[in-house]
Amino acid sequence: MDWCEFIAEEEIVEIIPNFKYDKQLNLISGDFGPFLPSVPVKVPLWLALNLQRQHKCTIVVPQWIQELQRLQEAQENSDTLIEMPSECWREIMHLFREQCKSMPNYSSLIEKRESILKSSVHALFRHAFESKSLFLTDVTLHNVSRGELQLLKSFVQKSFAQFQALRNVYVYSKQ
Amino acid sequence: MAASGANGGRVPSDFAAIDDIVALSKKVSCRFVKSVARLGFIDQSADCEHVAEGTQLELPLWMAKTLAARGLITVDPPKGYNQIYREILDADASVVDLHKLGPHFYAFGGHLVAMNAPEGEEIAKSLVHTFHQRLHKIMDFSLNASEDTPFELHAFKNNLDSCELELFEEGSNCLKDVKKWEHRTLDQICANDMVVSLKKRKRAMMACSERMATDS
Amino acid sequence: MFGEKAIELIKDLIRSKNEPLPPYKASEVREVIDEMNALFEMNQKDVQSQSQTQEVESQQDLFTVIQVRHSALLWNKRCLIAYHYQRLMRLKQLRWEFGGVLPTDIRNNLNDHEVVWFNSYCSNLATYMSRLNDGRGIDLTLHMKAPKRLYVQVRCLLDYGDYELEDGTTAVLSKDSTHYLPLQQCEKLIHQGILEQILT
Repeated sequence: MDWCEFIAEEEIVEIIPNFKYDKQLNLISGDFGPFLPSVPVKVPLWLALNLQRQHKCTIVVPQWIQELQRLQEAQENSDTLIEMPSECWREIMHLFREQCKSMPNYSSLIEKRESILKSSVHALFRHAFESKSLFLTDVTLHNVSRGELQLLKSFVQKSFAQFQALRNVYVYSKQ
Repeated sequence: MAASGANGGRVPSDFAAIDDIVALSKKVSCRFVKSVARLGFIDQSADCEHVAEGTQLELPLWMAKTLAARGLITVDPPKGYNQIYREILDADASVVDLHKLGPHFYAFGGHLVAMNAPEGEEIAKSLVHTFHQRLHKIMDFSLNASEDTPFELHAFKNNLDSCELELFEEGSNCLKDVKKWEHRTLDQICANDMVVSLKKRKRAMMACSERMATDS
Repeated sequence: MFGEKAIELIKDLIRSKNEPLPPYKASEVREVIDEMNALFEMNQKDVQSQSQTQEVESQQDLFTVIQVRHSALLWNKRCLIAYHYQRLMRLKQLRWEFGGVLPTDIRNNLNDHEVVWFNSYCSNLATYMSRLNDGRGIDLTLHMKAPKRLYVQVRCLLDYGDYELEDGTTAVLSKDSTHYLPLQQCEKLIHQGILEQILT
């Protein structure tokens, strides 16, 4: 999970600096700056968080975080995962929560999506169980993000391998 | 744990797998359908030179495999794999204590099927069915925080086969990781696991020897 | 019964699952090898005598006897390999967790060959790590987690003594003292349980 967050810190956000630095910063991910007081500028999230910790800027909360309530409602009314505005939405929200005290509560969004994910895994196992052949087709899952998969990934991978091994024994026994 | 008969002369990838070895060391009840001269040494309870037809012996699975391959014995499916148990497992596998029956229930069953034991197909079917039935519950238990029911959780874990337990631990470790991340303790750099366990053991040993010193 | 001593070795591995490395079972390994030698000699003798027997029936039985002994041989071999292999894997992990110098109570549990293996593993790893990063070297046992900050607050868990930092200053690491150090330079001490990171 720490690596997901590390990758999420590369996302670009807008900050309003309160210091002056009229040169560009040449980073691996691109060139940023110059920085002028009260002039919005785009930087990677990790830099934004660092500057804010030193009270050198304020971070502009991304539009989609402000629309969280709408996303939460849309997800509540859907049986499948809805498309999220960012691949790393969960990690970004988590980082923002530490900075802004006024974050809306989004725990029901996480819970709802987690339960959809879990039931899709249950469905996958059922599908494998009912399938006659060892080869499975048509297993797709849309709109799931990296961070959300962390919870399930290795469990699903290992149990599926075990399941297939047993199914293989069964196929062998029929020969 | 795939059928070892299927991969010919190759060294299987799980050659050094402890669970597989322990499963193979478990004993099965075998009946000789032919008599074999000078094989008496495998039956230590009776002091005969030969093994007579109809002799009933408890042999480790790895040896039974050799004898079965030569068509010399038939194997009785042990408890857990026979028809009565298959029906119980079929009805509701989640209540059965596979740890007691195994604890390498699936690995052992896989070997039984691979050596063409009677009812092999039914056994294999029952293995798949049992695993599938129980897997859903394992997932729910391991991936949902349930600190409020430690007793129930403990009882549940005690019923698991060794490979099921491994999956359970995998799931609950993932959950722990995500929870740690949410509570911001994942960033903390910690002492390595073995270092911690060695320290604990040392402390326990020191406490023990101190107690012994004060006792004497 | 054949093969029973061999499985005891495997059970020793299971029993010691939560220990770093249990003592090497030298005499048990010896016994398994003796059993294997005995099995081999018996088979050797039977194979030689086989040419003298004429009847097909008794020849078949003899083959069975030989094959049962042979499978016992293979079984013992598999257990021995698994025992030594799993120990090596634990030893390898010890290198990553404790570094190149093992605590004496673990070191005493190794047999001579394992000591040799450990030393050559250490030097292999050291050579490999020193070649990375254009020959400047990277310590792969560090940075196991994604970097978060350059400096960390740490508490010292035992009296370690003076610790010289890269900038030439010295930190006195005495028990319960706290320090603010570059992560780069104190991460190893945290891994080894000498320092403890304090979360702020």
